[in-house]
Amino acid sequence: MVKMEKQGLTLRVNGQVYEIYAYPNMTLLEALREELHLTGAKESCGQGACGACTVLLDGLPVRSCLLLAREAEGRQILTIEGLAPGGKLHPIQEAFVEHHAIQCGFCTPGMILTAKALLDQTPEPTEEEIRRALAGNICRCTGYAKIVEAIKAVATREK
Amino acid sequence: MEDFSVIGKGSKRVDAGAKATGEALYTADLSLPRMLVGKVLRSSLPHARILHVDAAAAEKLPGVRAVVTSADSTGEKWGVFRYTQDQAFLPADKVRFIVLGKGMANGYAISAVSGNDEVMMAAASKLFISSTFFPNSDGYVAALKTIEVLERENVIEKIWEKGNRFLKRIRGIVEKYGVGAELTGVAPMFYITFKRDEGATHRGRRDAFYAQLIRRSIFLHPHHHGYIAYRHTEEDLDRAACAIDEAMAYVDEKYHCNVFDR
Repeated sequence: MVKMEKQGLTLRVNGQVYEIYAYPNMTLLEALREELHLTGAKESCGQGACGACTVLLDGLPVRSCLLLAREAEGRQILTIEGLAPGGKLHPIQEAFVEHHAIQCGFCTPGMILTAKALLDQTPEPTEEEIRRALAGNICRCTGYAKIVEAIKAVATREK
Repeated sequence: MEDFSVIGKGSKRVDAGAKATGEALYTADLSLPRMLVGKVLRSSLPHARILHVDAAAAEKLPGVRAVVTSADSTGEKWGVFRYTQDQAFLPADKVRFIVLGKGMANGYAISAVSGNDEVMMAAASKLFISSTFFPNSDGYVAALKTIEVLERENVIEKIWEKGNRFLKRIRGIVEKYGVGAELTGVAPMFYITFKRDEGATHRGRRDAFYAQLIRRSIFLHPHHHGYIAYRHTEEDLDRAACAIDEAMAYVDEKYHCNVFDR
């Protein structure tokens, strides 16, 4: 049996550099939640189906439960905690609050980050583009209509 | 409208801000000093009788504080609604699988283990469960067997082939008599109806036709499709076709209705 050993790892999260000691099989989600205590990214299905663990890696949404922490070394990681660092809500967060796009909130961090990646690339997405971008994020209670409305509102406001 | 402080005004959820920033803490986000981690072992079988739960090996693992099984429960059952309170905390005798419109659950939990998180995965797999398939998995077995037979015997294909031959014959009979009968449907399921006419004699023609069929021991539903079965023999279909022919002849004679195009 091969004995696994913890190794040093450098992660750049929300503009800060973190040094952690982790087993090579630690996922990025585990590293964020258990080592850095950033619990905004959620574990729901744990197998890449639901999108609750979504974070941005160099600006693109990834499922942190499927990504090894090691694979994120040297990349820019953005979690929901990094979106409103000064306490002032990001326009997408504001829109989610205003449009009642949040109920239990478990999918919200993933939804908001997915929306951010979309709006960064496509500032004025059509409804279909919004829905397609959200296809990998599952919501069990709010329903998607309010979420889509919130993202649309951000796009219009920014115009 | 009177100026109310809440009614007629929009209001934000008090927790929405914290949920939008990720600050809101959910159960899984909590971490307390000396906190133990639990692991639930779920049934690997959809519907089975529990013969034995042996937690001894799991209990012996270093770091394990407790193993909980049905023996630790009062036997009280729970459920979200009063009328769905049929689930044991941990079942003692039987595990069930639930099949819902949207998906399938993982089966009932059989036991729960609590201890240091690093040993949890191992502890759960060391619990030994022995069980048998419960008898009323009959439904699943029957469904799978049916599909197997359908494929092995080319049932669908044969029904279409048989039905097409039968329909061709019935079409010939329908065309032979000018009684306003119409044949619709596809090979596995066909339907004989009677064209509406001004005097509304189509009802009489329909009733007479289907009654005559019954007299000849053939039942076809007057208001629904008839079906061709895999088990229908050539002789069965021949008898049905002859009965249809005779019943049409009866209607033709009774109504002297040669008013429809042949």
